[in-house]
Amino acid sequence: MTTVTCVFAVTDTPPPDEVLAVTPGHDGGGPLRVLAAGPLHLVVQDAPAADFGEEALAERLNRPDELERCARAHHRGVETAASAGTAVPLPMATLYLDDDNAVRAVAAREASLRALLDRLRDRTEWAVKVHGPATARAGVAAGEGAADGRSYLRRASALRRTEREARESTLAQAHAVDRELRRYAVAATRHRPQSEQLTGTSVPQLLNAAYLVDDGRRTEFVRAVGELARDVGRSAVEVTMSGPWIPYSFAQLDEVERAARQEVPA
Amino acid sequence: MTAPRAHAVDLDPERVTNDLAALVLTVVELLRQLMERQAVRRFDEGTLSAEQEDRLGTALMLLDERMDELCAQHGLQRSDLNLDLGPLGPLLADPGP
Repeated sequence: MTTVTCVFAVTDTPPPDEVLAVTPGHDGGGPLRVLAAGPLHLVVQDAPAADFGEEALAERLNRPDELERCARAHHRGVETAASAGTAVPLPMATLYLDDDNAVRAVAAREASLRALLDRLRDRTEWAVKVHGPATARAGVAAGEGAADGRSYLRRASALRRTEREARESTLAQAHAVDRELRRYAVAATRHRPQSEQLTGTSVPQLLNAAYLVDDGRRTEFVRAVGELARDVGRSAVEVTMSGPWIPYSFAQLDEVERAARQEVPA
Repeated sequence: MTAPRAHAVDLDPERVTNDLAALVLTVVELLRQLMERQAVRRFDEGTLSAEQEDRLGTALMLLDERMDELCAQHGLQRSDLNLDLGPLGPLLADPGP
């Protein structure tokens, strides 16, 4: 079987063999292994070339069930790499023709990878999502008053104004949550809000943010989220938090220098 | 319009007809919302005569009712009428003026 080398993550604290041995990687691939590249270590797996060729991979990742399996396998590999210390997760399906190519690629970027490891050390990612109240669109015609054209326009005008004000007020609350949480974070990033189709709820997502938080400030951060959730909960705005996560959102290699400049003062 | 995209093309005739109806109604709803927004803006600006306000308002009211009927006929809700335009967001986001 022809194989390619799939890299999950880079770390300077390689996980012990017994942890690697019990972690299943991608389907049809070999056991997880560690490759040394100077002071850095790569957690890799031999993956069947037939399944991981450009076309085969693109086709598989277009299928939601395959995408999910692939993402879960990738996450298992990354978690394993991070089990003994800090790891930089690489993008899903980072593939090289063979071990030598993978090691060379990592060695070539050693400086930025080490900077990234230092940046992520003793820090974890927390995801915070803010959902607004359901915007049940009240029909214009359902209002009170005479059913003539002018009063219809008047009601439509009033409805638009109310809707706009409500939207602006909830958005302002979401931004206030973000502003407050950034005070506890080393770095923060806003992802595009997920569609209602993806979240499976009928309430609009107002904020989809990730925060990189020092483990030492974790309690403070979690408490702040709780307090904010209580504050805005009165106006039916919901704040949810998940974490700690492996800092995927803050592990972009090509952004490492730019991100360093953007760090919010703690 | 919000059914998850299956890997294979679904050729169930019933479903195809309903999806087509939903698509057509989505476009009609988009036009209706645009017209209503424009009418409301001119109403707010006060640039319409009383008679124009009445005619426009009546037309929009009837169109609104007709949309409800058409949706009911095809077993759809108004909120079903939308298209996810990916990075552009939903077609009927109603971002306001």
